[in-house]
Amino acid sequence: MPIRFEHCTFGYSNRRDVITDLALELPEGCTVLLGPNGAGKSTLLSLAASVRHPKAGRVSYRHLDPARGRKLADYRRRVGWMPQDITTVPGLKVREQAAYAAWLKGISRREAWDRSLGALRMVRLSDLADRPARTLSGGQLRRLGIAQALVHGCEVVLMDEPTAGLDPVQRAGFRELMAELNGTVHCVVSTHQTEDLDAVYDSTIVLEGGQVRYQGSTADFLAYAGQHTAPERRAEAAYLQFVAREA
Amino acid sequence: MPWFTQLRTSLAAWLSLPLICGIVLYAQGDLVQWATTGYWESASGKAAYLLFMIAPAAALAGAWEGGRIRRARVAGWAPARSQLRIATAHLLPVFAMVAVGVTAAFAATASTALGAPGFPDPWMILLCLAVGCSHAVLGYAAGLLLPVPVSLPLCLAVSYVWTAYTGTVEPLWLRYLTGMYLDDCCALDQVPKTGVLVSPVVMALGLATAGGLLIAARRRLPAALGAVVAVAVGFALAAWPVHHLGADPTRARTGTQCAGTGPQICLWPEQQRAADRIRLTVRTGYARLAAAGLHLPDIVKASDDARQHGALTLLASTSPTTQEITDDLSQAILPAGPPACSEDTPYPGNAAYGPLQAWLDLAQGGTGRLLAGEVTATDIQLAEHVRALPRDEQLSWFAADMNSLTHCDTPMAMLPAAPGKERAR
Repeated sequence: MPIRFEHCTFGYSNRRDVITDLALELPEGCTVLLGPNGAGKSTLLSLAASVRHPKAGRVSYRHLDPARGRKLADYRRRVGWMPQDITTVPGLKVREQAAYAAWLKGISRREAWDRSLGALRMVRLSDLADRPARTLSGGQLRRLGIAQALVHGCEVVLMDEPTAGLDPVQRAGFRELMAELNGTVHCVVSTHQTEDLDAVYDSTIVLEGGQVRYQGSTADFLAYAGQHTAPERRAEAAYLQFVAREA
Repeated sequence: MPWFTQLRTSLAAWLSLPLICGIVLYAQGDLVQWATTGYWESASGKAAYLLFMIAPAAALAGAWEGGRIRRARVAGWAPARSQLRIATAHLLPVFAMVAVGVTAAFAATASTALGAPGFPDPWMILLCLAVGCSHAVLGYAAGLLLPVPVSLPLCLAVSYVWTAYTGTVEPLWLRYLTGMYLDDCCALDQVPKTGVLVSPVVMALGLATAGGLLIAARRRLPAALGAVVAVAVGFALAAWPVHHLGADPTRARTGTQCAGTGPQICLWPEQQRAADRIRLTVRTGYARLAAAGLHLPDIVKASDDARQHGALTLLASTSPTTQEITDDLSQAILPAGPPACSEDTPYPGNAAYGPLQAWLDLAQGGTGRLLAGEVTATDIQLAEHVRALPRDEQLSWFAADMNSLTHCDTPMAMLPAAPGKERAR
């Protein structure tokens, strides 16, 4: 997938830079971003979503540079974004909020309304479509966030911790959703939930200190774990082994 | 978001009904009582006064919409639509509320002008819309930048104070930037000065531009500086056409329709329905005054500047009674005001005004009974006494008293009759 970071540096106001001179091309298919807290996963995704702009370097998608005003809208229409914190617009119901998210991405009012129900069905929220969005639980809000990221029919979807706060059944639902999406949109997901990593993601990127420590196929990454590691612990073990080897 | 959602969730939709009620109730009070009946310009001026309700409501509803975007942190959703486009969509119900409020204001004051030729002043309608919408845009910007508990009361208070209280401070021309102080407009022979119509629109454009800059680039220093510059430039450009004006926002109107001779009588289109009665009464009065020996101008105009052109000013309303026309004609013959006398010395000629008006009314065929209330009983008695004298004596009395009226130190003429002595004292 041609979201490309070219020598990107970013820092929050006066603090030290979170990402320094990052050069990275996100691969096609589904990619998972792993790394410890503070590694720069959310920052990287927000740069890719064009919510933030690098203070040096450039982010682009298929030669669209969001830093150039006229290309920003086009870029954002192609890239869906689910932030870590899902906020609701006061007064809106669940379906209205999904439709509003689609409208924000440039879809007409009517089409946005029509698409919203499909997006809610995708995340199994359609039965709550008429509930005020502010009454949703944390897990339901995450699912609404996923629906909002997908509702306008993007080419790439970026999701920051989409499974945080989801119960095991909902996480399984998310994995199914990702399987459905695979092949239709490219996705980049940051997560601490590492079970079934190889079933969902084609590629893995490990970030630490704002730098890419690993980039490759998920199968190769999982190979860092010993052959006798239990399947549900393979990603975690691979990560620990990888960090130990790097050290 | 669908339109029905937008309407359901917009504060503007909920504010519209109370706003309409407030406008109608206020308009039915003192406001329309002081309007010039049958004149759309006056009705429009009164409607513009209701901006003190419309603009704060717009600012409040705008701040609410901006607050919703702020609370939802919509900028963090990576919207493809620009902040200005989002703002415009959210402000549409607020703009609609402004349009409804302006419509209600013009409808509520229209009762004073219904049936009159013409229509509400389109520039005043535009002015009200521009002012209301600019407050909405600035309110939205405030809602976007400030927490809701701050932005809502702030917008309501600032907008209300700007519209309703600017008229209480010096310099006087400041009021014309708000668009609201057109309520003194207009008598039949007046229209608003161009400056007082243009100035609020320019100021509104400045405010809206400032709001737009703040919306388009939040929390950025250049945008804030740009907003300050926009307000300053808007203020300067808006002040330029009005900075020399005082409390009167009107200028003389043109366009009377003249007819007949002896005298030629020029009336406003709004007076056409009563034109026959006005012309008949004036001509009758003219004939009787000529018979009494007075030489009057050949033109009577329903315009305050008529005297400058050697004509008589007949400031009759759109539908005057015969007595009002007679009174107006009498007043038109008398000087428009006292001479510029020193404040320290008395002006004895003032006492001549009442008897002269009474005499002129009686000479036109009026009766003492009809005059009661216009002048004092003593004045009527004196005038009736003079009317009983030979024509030459009446004329010399009239000329002497007119001389008294136009000079600071000339007492009114006394007659050998008791009422005259009484008055002279």
